Amino acid sequence: MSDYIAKCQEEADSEKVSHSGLCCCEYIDHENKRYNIIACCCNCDDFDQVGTDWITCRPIDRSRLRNMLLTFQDRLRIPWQGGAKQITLSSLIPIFVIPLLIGLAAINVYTCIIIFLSFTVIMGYALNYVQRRSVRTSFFFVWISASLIYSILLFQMTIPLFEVLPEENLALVILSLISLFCFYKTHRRASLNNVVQSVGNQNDMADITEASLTEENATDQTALLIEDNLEESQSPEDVSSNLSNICSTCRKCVPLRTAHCSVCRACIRRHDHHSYWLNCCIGESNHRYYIAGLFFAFLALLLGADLTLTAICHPFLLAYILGLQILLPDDCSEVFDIYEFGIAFVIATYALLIAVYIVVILVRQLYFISRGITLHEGKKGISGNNKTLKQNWKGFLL
Amino acid sequence: MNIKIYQRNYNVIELLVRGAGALLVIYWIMPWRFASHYEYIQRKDIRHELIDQVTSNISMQRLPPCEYNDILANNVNTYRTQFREHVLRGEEILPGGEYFPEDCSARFSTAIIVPYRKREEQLHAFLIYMHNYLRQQRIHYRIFLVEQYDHKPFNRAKLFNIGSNIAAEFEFPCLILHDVDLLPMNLGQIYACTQKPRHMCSALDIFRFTLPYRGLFGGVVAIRTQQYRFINGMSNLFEGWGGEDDDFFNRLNWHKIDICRFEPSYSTYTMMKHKPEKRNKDRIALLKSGYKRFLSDGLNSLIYKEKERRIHSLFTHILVET
Repeated sequence: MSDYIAKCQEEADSEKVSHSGLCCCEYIDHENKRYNIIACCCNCDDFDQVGTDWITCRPIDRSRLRNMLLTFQDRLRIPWQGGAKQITLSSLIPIFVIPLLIGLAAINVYTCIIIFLSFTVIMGYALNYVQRRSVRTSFFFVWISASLIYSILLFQMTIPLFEVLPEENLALVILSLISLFCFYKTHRRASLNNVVQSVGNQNDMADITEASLTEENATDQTALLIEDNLEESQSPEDVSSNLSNICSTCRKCVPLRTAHCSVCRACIRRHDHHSYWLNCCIGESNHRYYIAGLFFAFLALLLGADLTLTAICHPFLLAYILGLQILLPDDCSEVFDIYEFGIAFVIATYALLIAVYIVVILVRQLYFISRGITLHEGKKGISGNNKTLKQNWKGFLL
Repeated sequence: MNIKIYQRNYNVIELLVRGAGALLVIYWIMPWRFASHYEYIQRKDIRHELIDQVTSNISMQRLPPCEYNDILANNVNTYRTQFREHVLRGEEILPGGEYFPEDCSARFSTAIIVPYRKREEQLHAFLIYMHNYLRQQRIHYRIFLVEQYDHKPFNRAKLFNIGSNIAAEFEFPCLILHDVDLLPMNLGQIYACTQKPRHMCSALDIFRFTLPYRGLFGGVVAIRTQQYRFINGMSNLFEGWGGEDDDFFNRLNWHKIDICRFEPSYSTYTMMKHKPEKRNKDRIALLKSGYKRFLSDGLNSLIYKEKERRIHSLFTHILVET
């Protein structure tokens, strides 16, 4: 199965190269042929052969099985401008699993607790796994996007909106839009972080990809390269003494504080970390948008959760601030009596969970910014530069 | 697929996606799906709006008139455990749940009509809290509990009609139509009538202290007895939960009587937990055709049988068959 995963990654890479002159139903398949999605059920020799073998109880050839799976995945596409887009398994899972989990958790308090605990553990483990292995995946990005869309939809459908003031809703919308805009900018500006490659290097890269397409030992090669890169970057004097570095993976000169991201396969200026949730690298040109996005997302999540919980639970008046009443829930014992309220409660809890996660990320970020180093440098053991807190923040903001 | 607008090329699909997104956001912030703001009487005008009117026994008292400005100015939150646990100084309350201050002559006489059936726990909490609350307001009041003593669906509006007839026997000039599960939280909501009928519980805690819609006129309502008689009371036909308060609001509108409310911080109420009543399936149809019966259905068509009238220490208990 591992060779299948490796092959899928290669497929995803080649997907990145934009093809011009494709209509929305056409695409370039894994054998570099032009194909149309209408023909999705035609002409798959591997499937025919595997099917025949299976029915006649003959042993199934492994490479044929792999090719069949690849073809299946390759042909599962939706029409999109500039060529049909591939639907990968990792991006399909969230779309079906999230509503299922919400629906199950809304049944009663026990399913709610079980699902939230197991969700937190499994997600934590999965994130840890992909971070250690530097797996390229859009799973987390699709998961968080789908969560957002489902939450907004269910917020509109389940909570009694006539209890919410239009101003409160407006504040929620504005905060959400600001945070979405910041994350969009973070995502869009991620490519500005990349150190521009020279022509020769690009050829090298193409050579490597082609070699790995044909040869089985390609994974070993990349593993070697990654190890090489780790050894290189582990020497701290390399970062502090020289004005410019040499990235061993890309074999080229890069500016100071640049690091190679093995997920994006690019050298990132002032590399902070690779964000799986946004499916991009955080570096020099999008770090500020990232922090702003986190901050506004935190506010939006908190407000949304509070609005939902006070609408479905029994609220109490905490205080009047500038003529606006601040409410907090005090008794949520009856939310699971009505299924819709159960759903709203689950979403509010989910929002609070994400808000807590954001606080953890934000505090860590603020700590490292105050020390004047990136997360990447912090993980390598650099404790900070010798500037003051004020200078560090000035350097970050301006 | 590109189109040209003002010498710039736009992709049609991209434009459509953006337009749909913008429409979605606009729909998301449209205020009509949310709670509404409402006009209210501000705190400085409240005393001026209240109508001084008392029963004859109070008006014959030779005492200085009571002052209410301090109650209105402070508007203290009285929803505290000390007032919820037991009746304080119970000897002040006259039999039948009547009270008037001894040291000054009250300016308002109010009959509080509470329709009731099978909610002992709530009634207990209601009576304890309301007697502690209302005596702090220095008004003359009496609590009438109208209990439906049959097995038909609960007919809240009809019980109010019956209660208003009985309050009229006692010459009360002001009626407060009160649900047994609602308790006022701030003392500034004086239990007296204003010129216009008043919706008193416009900041209910289960609605996040907001008003779901402007036509909401249920829960706790203050109306002058003569106005209640003028609009022919409430409809007798609404059995089960819902609709009767909207019909009442329509009646007032039809008779060109406007309603009013106090400031939200004076109108805070809390609702006690209870299981929901059986909903009336015909309520929408009854509500729609209600205007045809405004003159024929109400106090003038009220038929009921009074089974018993008991004078308890904290309330006047009227058992009726509808």
